[in-house]
Amino acid sequence: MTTDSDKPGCPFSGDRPLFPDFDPLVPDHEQDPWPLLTRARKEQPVFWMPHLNMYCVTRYEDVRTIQKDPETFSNVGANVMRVPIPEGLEIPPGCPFPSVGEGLANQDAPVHTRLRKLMQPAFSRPRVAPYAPQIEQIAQRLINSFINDGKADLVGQFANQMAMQTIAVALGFPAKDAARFREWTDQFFFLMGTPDMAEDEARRLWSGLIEWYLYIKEMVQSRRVEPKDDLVSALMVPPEDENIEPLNDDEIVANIIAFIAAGTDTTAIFITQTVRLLHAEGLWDAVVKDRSRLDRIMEESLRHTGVVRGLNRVVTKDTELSGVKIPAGSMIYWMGGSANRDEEQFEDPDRFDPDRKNVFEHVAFSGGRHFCMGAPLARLEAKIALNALFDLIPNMRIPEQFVEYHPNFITPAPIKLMIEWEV
Amino acid sequence: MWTCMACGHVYDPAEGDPDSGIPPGTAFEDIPEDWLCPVCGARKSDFEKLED
Repeated sequence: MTTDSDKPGCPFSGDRPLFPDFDPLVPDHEQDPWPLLTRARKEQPVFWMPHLNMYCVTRYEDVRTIQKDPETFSNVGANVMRVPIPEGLEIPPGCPFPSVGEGLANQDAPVHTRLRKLMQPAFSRPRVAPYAPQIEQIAQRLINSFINDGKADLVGQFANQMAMQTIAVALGFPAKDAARFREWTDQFFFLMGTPDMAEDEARRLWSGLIEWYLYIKEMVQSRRVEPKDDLVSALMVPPEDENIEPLNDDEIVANIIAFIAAGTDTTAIFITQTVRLLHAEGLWDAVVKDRSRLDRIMEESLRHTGVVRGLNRVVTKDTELSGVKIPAGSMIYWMGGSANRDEEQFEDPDRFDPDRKNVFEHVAFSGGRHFCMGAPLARLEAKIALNALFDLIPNMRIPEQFVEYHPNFITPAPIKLMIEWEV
Repeated sequence: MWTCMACGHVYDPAEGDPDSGIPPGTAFEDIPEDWLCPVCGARKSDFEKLED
């Protein structure tokens, strides 16, 4: 397909862009972007977002092309803090910000290949499975803390706490510090995904990130001296292949930060949205009684509503997607959330249907070389959290389905979701 | 042989993936679509065929 935007004199953004006002940060678009994205996939599947200075890619096929071609669609420089460092604030030497430089999500081959090879064993399905009993204890403890109240905020009192405490267990960090992860993660994503920000706020958030870096650095250094049975120590185990240079402390710090950032908010959203969807679709009671479809329900939740709405890549050479020319050096925003609703890939895509045959084909965990390394832990944690809710609050209700989101074009997180039940 | 683009795990049809219910001798094409990489959890479509 060739679009009008290919015509001479008509830059990609088009003299007549169909979606000049689409802004994933605007509450209405964040709340319910689906009708507009449905139009975009049909009428202008790749379009320019002038206020974010990036191209938005909406179709499944294009998103898969991006994921499978990391040479053209690079991660280097793709995930950066978009709020500049305030004047006078010093970044300590070795601190991975503002680019999270040594983090997996900001690298291409061959650096990425080496990092992934060294880190994957610590995050594999067999390696995270033994955390299950501890995660179950976390879920039960949290629910028991409010079960006699007859109501709770699922986000603040459960999902966020689950995510933070699970990460703390996996990393071997003190449970008392888990609450700080949430704050730091929020700061991380605000600086990355909320470009318009007052300087005072930017200074506060940047100061928090530096504090986070120093905290993780100290923890990594302590594991060098005294290894434990945790993920941080697992990353220090020398590789079997002597030709591969082991991870250094800067790389471990950067990737632990990235892991916490990527695994805290996201899993909390995953749990929250799945609970909300089960109620919205009238499936809660049935699933409480019969969990046999839970894996498919979780995957359909990821497809239907998802967690990460979109991510960035940098185009390394002139290329074309859906007939639209994209020049080298451009930043693109591939919308997994839109791809997962693509009617060319998923029949009746707005319908929540755990029985659809290609339910596992969603791109919620990205794909290709950059498939989310934390996916096994996220799936394990979410499944345990949901089962604990089914077991302990089988008569749950959601009085108000409306969810307000934190403004963020990468991971819009529900602020609050009240649940109720008979005590 | 097929390899996972995400983590490098190699699926060998001779071995299958018994832990996931895929018996030895199962061709990659015959694995159900809801099968996931036993190491990283990537979906089947994130595997690519290795050259002979």
